[in-house]
Amino acid sequence: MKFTINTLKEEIIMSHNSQAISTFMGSSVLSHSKGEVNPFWIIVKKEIADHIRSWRFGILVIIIGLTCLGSLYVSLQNIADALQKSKVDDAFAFLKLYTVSDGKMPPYFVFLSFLGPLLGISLGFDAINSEYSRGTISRILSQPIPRDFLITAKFTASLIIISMMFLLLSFLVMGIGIISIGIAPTVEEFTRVLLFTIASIVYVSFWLSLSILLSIKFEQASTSALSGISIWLFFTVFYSILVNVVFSIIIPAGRKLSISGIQTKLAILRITPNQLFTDITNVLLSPQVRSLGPLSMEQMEGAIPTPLPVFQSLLLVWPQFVGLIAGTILCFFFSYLLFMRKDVKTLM
Amino acid sequence: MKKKPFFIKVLMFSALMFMLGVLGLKAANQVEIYTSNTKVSLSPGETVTYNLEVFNHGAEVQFCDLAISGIPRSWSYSLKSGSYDVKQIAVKANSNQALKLKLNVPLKVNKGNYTLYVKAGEAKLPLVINVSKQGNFKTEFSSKQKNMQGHSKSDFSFNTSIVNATGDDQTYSLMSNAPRGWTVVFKPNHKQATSVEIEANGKKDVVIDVTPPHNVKEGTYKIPVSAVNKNTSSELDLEVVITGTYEMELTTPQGLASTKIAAGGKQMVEFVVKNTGSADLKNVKLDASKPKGWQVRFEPKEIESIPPGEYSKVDAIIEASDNSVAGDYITNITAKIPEVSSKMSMRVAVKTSLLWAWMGVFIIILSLGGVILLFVKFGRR
Repeated sequence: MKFTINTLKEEIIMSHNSQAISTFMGSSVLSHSKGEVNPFWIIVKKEIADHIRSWRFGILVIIIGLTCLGSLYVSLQNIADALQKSKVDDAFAFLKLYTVSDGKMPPYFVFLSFLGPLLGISLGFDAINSEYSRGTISRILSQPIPRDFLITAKFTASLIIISMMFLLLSFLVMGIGIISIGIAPTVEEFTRVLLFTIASIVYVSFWLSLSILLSIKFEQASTSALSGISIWLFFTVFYSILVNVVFSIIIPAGRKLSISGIQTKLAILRITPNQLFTDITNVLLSPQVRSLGPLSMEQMEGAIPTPLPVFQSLLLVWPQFVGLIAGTILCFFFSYLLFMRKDVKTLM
Repeated sequence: MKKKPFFIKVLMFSALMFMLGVLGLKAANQVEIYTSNTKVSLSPGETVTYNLEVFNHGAEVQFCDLAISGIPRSWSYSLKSGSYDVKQIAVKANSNQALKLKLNVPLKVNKGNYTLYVKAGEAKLPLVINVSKQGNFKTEFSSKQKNMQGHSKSDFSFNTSIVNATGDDQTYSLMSNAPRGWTVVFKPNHKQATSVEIEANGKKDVVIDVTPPHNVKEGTYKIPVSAVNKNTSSELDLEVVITGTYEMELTTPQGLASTKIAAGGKQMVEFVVKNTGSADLKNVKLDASKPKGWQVRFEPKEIESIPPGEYSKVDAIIEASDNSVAGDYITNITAKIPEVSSKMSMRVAVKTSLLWAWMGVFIIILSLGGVILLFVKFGRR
């Protein structure tokens, strides 16, 4: 028994991931005395370590961190002006840290809607196919672990990394903000920032699960990376242009869109995840936003411009939230299905 | 004519006395009383002081009991030797003793002659006081305008005057016997006071400020005021006519002017219509200016009558429009009668209905369920 484990160890030492398995194997021997260690978390740990040591993750973290700090710097430069312009009873001074800009450099959440997908794609585009191309998949799967541990662990590991990173950035901004402007966030503001952070995590994890799906679908890592990036480009740049073009063809020039027309257009635009994310951030970071669509005069009659409570804001963007979460789960669902049905033996 | 015989009698009596003395009855009448002013003329309220001397013509010390008779009951007097009230004096032989009689003529006195006798032992001295005029002790409290009309929130300022027709300076305390809740303030010298001093035959103008109670009903009210001291008093009845005013206040029992409501939902808000005026509010109608698509119903729709100082409760059922957006809205509720109206702004916070939120949660649960199904199907393979 011990001999076979030792040979297994030697055999799989080449693979990145199989190191984790070997640790598991080692520990499984000791499991009688030490108590059970779930092999799933060992794979997750290993994946996280791999990501953190990788160059591409480092570069993306630096890019996102720099844009975050850059936007923070710009907003700190302009927050005094913004606070003076706004009404005296504006209770949301702290949220301005996340939204104020000087017009030259977009605020942090706009950057995030561009760069977040890139982070997600880079974390997932070679999740499965690289294992195939390196030939390590069969070694891992020959370990006595359930097959679905691999894909679930890969997804979980990336999710943890994303969550840690965004929570860190949000609290970093909060901390620097408190030090430099001297205003502590209220409970309401803190909740809003936290929800915004969760929204960005969900947004990035959607792209992550999409790219994992692509990494299963395409055997070449480069193909899946390119297809991921092209989807991202399509949604962020071309989709809105396309919708505008189609609408300008349907609606004759000079005529204004009816309310239902505007609503249809918005609904079509909201198919894209980045539109959903923009909606969420807009509402969560600006409490005075009451509606994302057009409002009729009837609806505005008797309304007074007061900020919404955080729960009402959340309810307003709840469909968007649900869309992103459901999209993430759906992509994971299909990648799981695809991975489980894939014939491993042919690739071995 | 009637008094003359009396006077003559007195003269005759004195003459008789004199004669008796002359006729060697000296042993019995060795004592004599003397004063210089035997007949004085006084006006009511005046005080006179007689300097009396009692002579002893005898060779022995005489003990004389002192008495004064013929003095009207309401008059006050004092008989003093030095600084003491005395009832009896002793006079040395061939000597005299001074006495002082102080007499106060009251205000309430008739015109005429009054004779009184001072007795010292056997000796008797008649003193005549002529009251020169009819005594007056009346005080007049009057006002040219005793009746005033105004609404319940106005102050009534009466110009009154007190005339002291007595022959003496008087200090009056000013009192009122107004109904409960009324405030009556006397201002003799443009300053609030409770008493006033008026010299003899003097006149003082007193301003009386009358403030009706907070929730006075319309009607006529009598405010009796009086100037009183121990000698004299005078009363005056002031009259205030309160005209009805229509005032009302629309509010909520706790004064809370905000409520929450779900979009498309109902919310009942209790309102209170207070009658702050002095007339009955009849047929109070309630109305609401509301955002479009909203409904506001009142229960009851109309309040029949609210007496002054009372209030009536009204339930308003606010129904928000289905497609109202979350946020704060202003609804103005108005209570009105033809004479007056009162408005209250209600801040209504509209909340999104949770139905779609639960739909979202359901969708997420459904998709998670799909994944779990996959786990169950493919896991552990």
